[in-house]
Amino acid sequence: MLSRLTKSTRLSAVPLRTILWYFSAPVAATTIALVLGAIIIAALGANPLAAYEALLVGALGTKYGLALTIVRTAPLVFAGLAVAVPRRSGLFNIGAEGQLQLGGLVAAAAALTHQNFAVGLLGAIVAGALWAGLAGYLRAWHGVNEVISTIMLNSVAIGIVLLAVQGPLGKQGATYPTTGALPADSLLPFVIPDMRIHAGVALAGLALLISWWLLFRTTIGYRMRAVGLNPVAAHHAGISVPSVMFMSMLVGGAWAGLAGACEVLGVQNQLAQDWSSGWGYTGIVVAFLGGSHPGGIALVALFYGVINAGASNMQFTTGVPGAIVPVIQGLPVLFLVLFVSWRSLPSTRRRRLAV
Amino acid sequence: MLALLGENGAGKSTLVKIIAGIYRPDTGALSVDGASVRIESARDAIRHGIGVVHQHFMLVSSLTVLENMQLGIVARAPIAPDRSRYAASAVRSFLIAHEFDVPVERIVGDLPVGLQQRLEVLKTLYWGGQILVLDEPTATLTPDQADDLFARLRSLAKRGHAIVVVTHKLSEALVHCDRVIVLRHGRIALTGNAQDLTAERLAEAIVGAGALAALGRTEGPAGSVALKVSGLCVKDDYGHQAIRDVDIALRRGEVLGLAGVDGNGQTELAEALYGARRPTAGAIQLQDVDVTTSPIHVRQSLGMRDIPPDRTSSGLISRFSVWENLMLEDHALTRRWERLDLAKAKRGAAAAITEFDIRTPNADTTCGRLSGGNQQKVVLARVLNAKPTVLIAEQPTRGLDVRATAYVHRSLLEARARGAAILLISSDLDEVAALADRIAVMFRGSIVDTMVNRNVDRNRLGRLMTGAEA
Repeated sequence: MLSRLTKSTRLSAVPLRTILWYFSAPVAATTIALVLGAIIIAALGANPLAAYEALLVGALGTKYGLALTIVRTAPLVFAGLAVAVPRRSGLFNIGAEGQLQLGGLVAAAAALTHQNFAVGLLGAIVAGALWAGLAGYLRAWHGVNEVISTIMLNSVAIGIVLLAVQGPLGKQGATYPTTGALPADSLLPFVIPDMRIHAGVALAGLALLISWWLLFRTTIGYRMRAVGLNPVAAHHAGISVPSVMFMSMLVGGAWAGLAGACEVLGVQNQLAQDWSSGWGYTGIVVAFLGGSHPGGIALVALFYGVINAGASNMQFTTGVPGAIVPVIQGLPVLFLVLFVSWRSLPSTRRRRLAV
Repeated sequence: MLALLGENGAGKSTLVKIIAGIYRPDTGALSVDGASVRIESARDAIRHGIGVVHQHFMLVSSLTVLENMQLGIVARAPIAPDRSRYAASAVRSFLIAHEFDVPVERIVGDLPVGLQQRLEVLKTLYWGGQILVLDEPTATLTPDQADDLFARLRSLAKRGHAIVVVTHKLSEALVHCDRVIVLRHGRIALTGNAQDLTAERLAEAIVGAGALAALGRTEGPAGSVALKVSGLCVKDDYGHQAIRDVDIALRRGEVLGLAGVDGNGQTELAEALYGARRPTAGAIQLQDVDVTTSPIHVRQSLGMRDIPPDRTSSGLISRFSVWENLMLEDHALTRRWERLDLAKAKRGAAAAITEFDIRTPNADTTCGRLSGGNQQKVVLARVLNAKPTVLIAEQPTRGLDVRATAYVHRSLLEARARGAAILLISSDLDEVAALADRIAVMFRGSIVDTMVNRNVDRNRLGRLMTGAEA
């Protein structure tokens, strides 16, 4: 009896440590990135603390800054989810950017033809889902590596957008390829008008909740996680592994398409050449740092939103170029990969030895 | 030539990997030619003249014969390779001296399997191998190719090479090797000269012949036929015929024990029955429904369940919690679209943990943290709670301790008493003898005999398992 008691207390202490581990790695990686960023800022001849302070003040200190932070966070939430949901079923969706671009295109086209944002949003969801679904279908039933197919489909999607804005959707006489201002009726309404926060932000929050519910509270989400963790056992249990993989890509693509639509209809109000600033790619980082969990994604997207929104204030007040931001954005991933592999190495060796 | 025998999981491959420098021993010492050595990498092994031919070819299939031969020479050279051995002419004359008459420009992937196997051996020799360790070298070869390989190994042995052949084919050990060591559960169970041994003695040492624990198996009339297999033929991963014309009629309330040395088609048979492998001929009828080509979930809904031989790779999702694993085969979860009923799942898990005595801190603990016995209990609880009418149990106690083994045995017999039809596939003869109503013996993909499990002659069983008696 005694031995059983002590045994169970010892064992139940372990998961807590695991939870701490989960948080510790991304937090430590981000901290190191911030420290390295500070060193670079100092090397540029500025005071790192002052620069970071300006960054924070710019992003959170004013109503305008706060609004900008929130608006910048929304596409990263969508894009993070677009990568995270397929990731849960074991697929790596590098194609969020292409799916997002097509979503933006469809939203703009719908705005021009229907003067209605609902059609645009729905169309973008379908477009993103189909674009991702193509790669998902090829992977699930024909074994085509989704990393390669989604990268290629990104190029194709970006090409399609260029064709559209230079051709049928392009505005005559514009100095650069663009659709021009979209009809006002077709734009997303503001949910907080005095901060100019558009409805897409609310949709991003909803997307977080829906994704969490889907992954952890529905049978299809259970199947996705099972397939992601052990496809052999999942298949053995009677789960159709290909259709689950395909589903997860559809969902991921839908979120990416929505990201594009919200950005076009909520922020830019037009579709121009090179309109996306690579949210799809940043989404990979967000999903990765956020542990492919909606909660983690929300935190990381917010962090990235803050450093993006505060960058111009930092440059203005301290003279540190805003180009430091992508550095701080990218470095955590590097360290996280390092931590994760370093952490898993001894245990896999141990496991292999135990076989 | 030394044969290292033992069933899957007996520790053969682990031993080979220690010798090859892939694993490190916890304790103990290795010595080569009387000198104690430390082998910490494949490079160390080569340096000490140990050449390992792994079960899966370690050839770069997109490179040529010549390039594959040169690989180890380059790898050992810090700056420039030893020209006298690296040169194409040197490789060519070495190959000719060993009667390997294939142009060195041929791409390795285009060569037939038998030639690739020979190239593996020659490669290790060329790299300086004095001690050759071959891990199941004939697994992918036809009998003729295997005989050819052994003839060549014999001539190498005559030239002074020491050769270890890891196998679970008894005939290879007895016919082709000089000495035999049998491993069982990681210990040496038997060692001797091949000429002094018989196939029966080896079989006994491999599968064990300890005293039988008396189990409360009540005799009862078997019910209707639940699983009917006729004329089943199945191919293995390499396209060889693994199962030939197998007929089985499994009745409700009976345990049919499938005895046989590992690798005689048991795995392929189980996969075909459960739906993980498509048969090439024959029919499988489950509850009078033809399921020969049906997917797994159709068989599940007809009441079939399977205890897979390897719980960690195909039985459990080790990063899922106990309760998540317990509902893995629930039809709603695997096929339908609905809300996850957490409360119900956790209630079910709590009941299963009590009923099956799963030792876990709580239902939220991930299965990877449980001991092997408790992991197997999770699989068992999931499978038996589905109240299967047909249960395929593959090596259900592999790697378990005595207590967990007894528990699994009792549970299987309880399921039998409830009317389940159980096909027990085991290479442990004691297990088959203790549980089965009838025993079918598999040898080289065929059922060579089926007998009622009463006063069975163990020696005859051994002879059947080794093909000594048809």
